[in-house]
Amino acid sequence: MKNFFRPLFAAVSWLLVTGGGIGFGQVQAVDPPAAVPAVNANPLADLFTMAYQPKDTPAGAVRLAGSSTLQQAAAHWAHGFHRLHPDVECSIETGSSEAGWKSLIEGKADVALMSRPVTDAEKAAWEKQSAKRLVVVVAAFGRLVWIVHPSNPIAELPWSPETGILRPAAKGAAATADSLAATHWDRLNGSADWKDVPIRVHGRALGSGTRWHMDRLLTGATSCQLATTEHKTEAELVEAIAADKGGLGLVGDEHAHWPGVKRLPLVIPANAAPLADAVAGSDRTPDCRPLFLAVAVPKDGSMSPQLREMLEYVLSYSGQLDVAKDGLLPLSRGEIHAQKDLLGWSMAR
Amino acid sequence: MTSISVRSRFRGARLVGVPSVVSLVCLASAAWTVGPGLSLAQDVRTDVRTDVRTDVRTRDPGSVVVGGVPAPVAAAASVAAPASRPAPLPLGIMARNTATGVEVVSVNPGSVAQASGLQPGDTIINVGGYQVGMVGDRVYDVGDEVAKHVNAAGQVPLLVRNGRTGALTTIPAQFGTASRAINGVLNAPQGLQVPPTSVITVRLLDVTEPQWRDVALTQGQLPVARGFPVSYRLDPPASTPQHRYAVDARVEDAGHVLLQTTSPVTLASLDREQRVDLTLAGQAAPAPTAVVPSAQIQQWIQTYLGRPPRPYETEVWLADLQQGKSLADVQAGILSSSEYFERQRSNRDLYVADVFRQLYGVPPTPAQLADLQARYDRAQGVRLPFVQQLQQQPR
Repeated sequence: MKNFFRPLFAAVSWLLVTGGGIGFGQVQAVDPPAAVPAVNANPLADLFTMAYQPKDTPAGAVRLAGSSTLQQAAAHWAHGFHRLHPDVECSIETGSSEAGWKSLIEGKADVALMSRPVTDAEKAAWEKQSAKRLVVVVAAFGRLVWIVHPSNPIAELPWSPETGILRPAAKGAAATADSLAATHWDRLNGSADWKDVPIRVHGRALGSGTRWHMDRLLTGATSCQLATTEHKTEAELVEAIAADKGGLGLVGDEHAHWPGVKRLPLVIPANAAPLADAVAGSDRTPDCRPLFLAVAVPKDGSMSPQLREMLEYVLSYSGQLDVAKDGLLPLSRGEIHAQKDLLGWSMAR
Repeated sequence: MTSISVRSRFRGARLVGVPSVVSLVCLASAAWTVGPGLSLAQDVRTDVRTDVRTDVRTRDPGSVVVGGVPAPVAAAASVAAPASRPAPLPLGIMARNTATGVEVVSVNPGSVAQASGLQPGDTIINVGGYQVGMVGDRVYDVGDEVAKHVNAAGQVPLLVRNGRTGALTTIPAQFGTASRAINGVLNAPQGLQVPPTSVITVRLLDVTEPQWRDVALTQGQLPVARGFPVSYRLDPPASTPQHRYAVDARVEDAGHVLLQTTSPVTLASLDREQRVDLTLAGQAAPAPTAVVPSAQIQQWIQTYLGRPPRPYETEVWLADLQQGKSLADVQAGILSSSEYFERQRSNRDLYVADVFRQLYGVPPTPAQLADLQARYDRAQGVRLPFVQQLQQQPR
């Protein structure tokens, strides 16, 4: 929303710059409305001038550990990076975001792959335990899609950052389904025939990034946890929704095309404030899940050459092409610049 | 052949806001701007009547521009061919984005920034009147904005907060008019006919290390519509000291490399304009039995993932081939994808057995299955190296 003011600021400052020698008509002519991206526009097309340019020929190891959501992207990064830097050995250990975080804290990993943000408690624990600076950057986004039983007449899911989808009664309300404003489907789909059908939430296990996002999208800023039927895989979750008339679940976009379920768009109010943990430099909607890399940087600012080159690779056209190969969404130019700022990298311009 | 490149680095800015209808007759040559800093020209007589709208941000991403005249790009134009971003112009600074602008960390000796009086600690607030740095939730890159707003004389005003006094001043950054362009002619064997759907790619490569065979700093693409010779122009980005650079070119159709330069042509430097003619060699058509990469990729997606390719999915894999990967790498990528793994219910035993069946056409024997499980565990469940290793073992 703040970007709305940018053309106005531009016009005023242009007058300042030019001493008023150029009229408003011409100023407006130079700043037509930003082009609306075409449907299915290739998100990589804008990144080509951000090619990976190796600065160094490092040797050593880079150890990545964490979320299975990022496993395949990490494997592509390791493969592509090793072709260019054969003296760097990349290892990947996958499990969960929790496991990756633990490995980073214990010094067993150089990069933690995280499919959810680092929590305040984890940051506080880091400050106490580590002499290094923690930097968390976004490496990709995953699009999440809500699914329901195909017989459900609902067409969309309204959402707000404060109350989520299910509209909890009050902040801090008890973490039970009874405390929610919407417990049965008639409150969401408007059909009296569904007043006796409870909303049954299906999700991944606690600790998974998808579950973290699901809970937050369902309950908004109240952040309460719901009674949830847990599934080990997204395939199981999709099958459970297909067999449950009252089912509601959240899956990665790549699984939402599976038969037997109906996908629902999330309707986000146009003036919704960004989420408290919104990604720096990004104005993505909350149905795009950021996927993070957490790294420990010595407080003197120096990072090992191989880790720096690896992160340069990830935040380049090549690294983002790797992300797209596993169905994830690559970063935009602005998002890449913002991540480099977080890393404290001054950029050549 | 007469080749006239009508592209100017500053064209977009000069013609901004001058919509009009023109009749353009190109008697000798037409040139296309086809990517960051690349234009290609071909012998052609064209009569075009169209609406000229030239602001780079309003161009249709599916079209290329001839001095403001949109021309269609073939559907085969790939992921690697952005049409709308002008080549960056280096100010010669190291910088950091902040909420108040772009903070200058250091200034390169002899750079445009130094000549303009920029100093470390200064903050560039806007470029040509447009805010840079963190603006709300987005980052507006100073390099991108300079390229967009520089005028025909190579000048762009920077609103700068002096790091020592805090004073706001407008500094006119002046870019040299001396070109650093690399241009030349692409030649192919006489009488050679390539399919009209073919695409020419010209790349500027960093070849400092022998293993950096496909580190492309910039590249552009153009459909081969009218044969050879073709003239090209590349505007290089800032170079890295001590690095070595080269130019190469290829002609591809559906992922097949039909013609290419036998080896990249090494450049003495990127600091001056230079002419580099390139000769393409190869065959105008693939052997009838050769696998068509794009068709093969689409078939793998359909077979392994049970669905047709999504928009740009095939192009993403073709772009991977351009980065030096092989078709086997693409196959391994799809077979190790999260989606394929989920189709096997994220179950190791189902997964390794199905990968084996896809690669060899038969299910594994119990002994083979045990071996596959052991290999998978040795790879610590990281699927890409597991599949790549399986591809390499004799059948």
